[in-house]
Amino acid sequence: MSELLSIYRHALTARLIDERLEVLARGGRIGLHPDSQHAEVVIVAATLALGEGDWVFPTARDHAAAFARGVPVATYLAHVIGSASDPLSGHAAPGCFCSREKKIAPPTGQLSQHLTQAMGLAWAARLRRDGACVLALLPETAADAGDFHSALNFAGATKAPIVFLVRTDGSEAPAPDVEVADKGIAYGVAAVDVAGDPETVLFAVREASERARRGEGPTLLEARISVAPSLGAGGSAPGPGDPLEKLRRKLIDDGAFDESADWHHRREVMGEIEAAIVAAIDAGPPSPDAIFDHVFAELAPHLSRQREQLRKVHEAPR
Amino acid sequence: MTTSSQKNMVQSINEALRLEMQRDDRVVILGEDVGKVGGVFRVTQGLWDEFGDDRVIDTPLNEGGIIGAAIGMAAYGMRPVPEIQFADFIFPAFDQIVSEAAKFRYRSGGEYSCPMVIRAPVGGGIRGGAYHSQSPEALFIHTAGLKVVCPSNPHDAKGLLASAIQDEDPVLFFEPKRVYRAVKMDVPDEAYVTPLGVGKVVREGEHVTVVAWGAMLYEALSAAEQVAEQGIECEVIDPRTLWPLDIDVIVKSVEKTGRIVVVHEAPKACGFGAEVLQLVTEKSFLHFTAPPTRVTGWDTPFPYTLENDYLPLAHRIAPKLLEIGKY
Repeated sequence: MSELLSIYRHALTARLIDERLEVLARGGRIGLHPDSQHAEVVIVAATLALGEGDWVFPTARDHAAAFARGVPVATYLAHVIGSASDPLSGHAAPGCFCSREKKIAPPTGQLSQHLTQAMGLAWAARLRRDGACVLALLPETAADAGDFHSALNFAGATKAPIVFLVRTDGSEAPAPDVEVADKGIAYGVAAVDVAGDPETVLFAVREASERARRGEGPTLLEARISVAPSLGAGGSAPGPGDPLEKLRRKLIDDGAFDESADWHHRREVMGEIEAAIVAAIDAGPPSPDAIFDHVFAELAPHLSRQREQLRKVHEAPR
Repeated sequence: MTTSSQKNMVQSINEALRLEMQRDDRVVILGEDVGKVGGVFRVTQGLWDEFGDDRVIDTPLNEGGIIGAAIGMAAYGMRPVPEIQFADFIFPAFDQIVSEAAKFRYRSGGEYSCPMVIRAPVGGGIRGGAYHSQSPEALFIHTAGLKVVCPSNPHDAKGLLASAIQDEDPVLFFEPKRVYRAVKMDVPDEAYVTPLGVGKVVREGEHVTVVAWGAMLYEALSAAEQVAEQGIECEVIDPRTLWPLDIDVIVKSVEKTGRIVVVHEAPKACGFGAEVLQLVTEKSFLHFTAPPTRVTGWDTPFPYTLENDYLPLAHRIAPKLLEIGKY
C-alpha cells in the first residue's frame, strides 16, 4: 500500500469513529469524545514519518495517531466505551488513550502539559543515547499556554530530540505576520512552517526527526490546514478544504481507487466500528474493584479498606 | 564491617542520593542550581563532580518545566529526583504534580507510571517570610496518587529517601529546613532503607498521644518533657510518612491513652491534623476521654516578623498537653 493510501485509510478510520461517537455522546451513551477537527491527515502523516523506536505524545483529539501505530479499532472503542475490555481499566476519559507497547503517551486534559513531558522523555532518550525521537502533537490553542513555552525553553536548552507539530488554521488568508513556528526561534528551536498536505508533512517530520536524532536539536513544525469546528460545536461537514476529502480526491485522480471501491471500504470500516461498539457494550463495565486499581503500584492500606466498603455497598440488597 | 558517623540531615540526604545514584544509573537529579552550585541548601553538593552533567542537571528556572520534564523522564524509565528550591515554589508545578504525575498510572490503566521523588525544603523558623516557610503537605495528601514523606532526623531522612527513590510511584519528599543542620546523629555510612508508611513511637507515655512530624517533632518532645514534670506522660509519634499514613500505630497509642493532640506548622483549617484526628475518631471514638485536639499554625499567611508567634512551638503545645492530659 502506498504511503498516501495508508494515510488516507487511517485518517478515514479516525473520521468515521468521530462521527459515530458524536452520535453516541449526544445520546448520552458515552462521555464527550473530542474529535480531530479535520486534522487526521496531518496526525497520521506525522506519525507514519517516525521510526518504530520513536514516541508520540498526542492530545485527546489525536486518536488517528493510535491507528497509524497499529492500535486495533476494537481496542480503541473498548477504551471509549470504558468497558471491561478497556486496557485502561475505564480510568481515562474518551480520547485519552495510550499504549506503552505502541509508544503512545497518555494525553492530558490540561491543554499543553504533555509538551514538557514529551520534552522530558526526549531528553531521557538522549541521555540514554537510544536514538529515539519524540513527536509532540498540539493544536494552535496549546501554543498560548504556559507549558508550550516551558517545553520549548527546555528543549532549546537541552537539544532534546523532539519535534513539536502544531496544526494551525491556514484556511483564512492572508497569513498572519507572526506564525506559531516563529515562537521557536527565541528558544533556539528550529522553526519550520509548511503546508498541511500529507506529503509535505511526511517529508518535514522525517527531516526534523532525523535532524533531532543527529543531535542537531528540536524543531517546531507548523502545518497549516483547514481546521474545522468540533463536531459537538456543529462543525464538520467535509468541504473541499477538508484535508481528508482533498486526499480522497487526489487518490481517486491518481487511480488508487474509485468512488465505488472507496464506499465499499467505508462500509467495511463502519461495520468494524459497529461490531467493536457492540463487543465493548457486551463486555459490560469493569468490576467496581477497578476503581481502586492503579492508584499506586500496590494497593495502599487505606484503599484496601475503601475497596471493602464499596464491595459491601454492592453486596447489600437494594 | 558496618561503620557510621555523625551526620546532619543535609549530609545524610546527600549520602542517600549518592548511594542511590551509584546503585541505579537511572537515577538523575534535576533542578535549579543543583549541579555546580550543589543546590540552594548544598544538599546535592559534590554529586555533579562525581556523576557529571548527564546525571546532575541544572535546569532553566521553571518549576512546571522541571516537573513536566521529570514526568517524561520517569515515563521513559528513568528515576528522576527533581529538587524544588523551596516548597513555596512548588505551585508553578502544582498542575503537573496533581493533574499529571499523580494520575499517570491511574489514567493509563497501569500502562505508564511516574516513579520520581520531588524533594523540597518545608517549614518556617529561618526568617524566610511568606515564600520560604510554608508547609503545603495537605494539598498533596488530598491528591490521590501521591505519597508524602517528611523525615524529622538525619537517620530517617537517609533511609526514607532511599525507599522513596526505589518506590514505583511519585513521592513528595518534604525536608524540614530548620532541621537541616540543627540535628546531628549517628548515621550508618552504608546504604539502607527505612520503609515508607511506617510510623514510629519516639517517646512512650500513657496519658496523651502526640502526633508531630518534621521540625515540630522537636517542639512536641520539648513540650512533653515540660509536662512530664507535672505528671503528664505523653506518647509522641512521628508518622514519618504522612501518606499513606500508618494509622495503626496512632490508633494503638490512642486506645492506650484515650487522648490525642496533633501538632503541625501548616494552617489549621483543612490541615493534615484534621484528617489524622478524624481517622482516629472513626476507629477509636469509644476510647476518647478528652476531645481530639490540634496545635497548629494560625489560619493566616506565613508572617515574616512574627514567625515565632505563628509556629506551634513548645510554649504553645505544653499548655494544650496539660489541658488535655487533665481533662
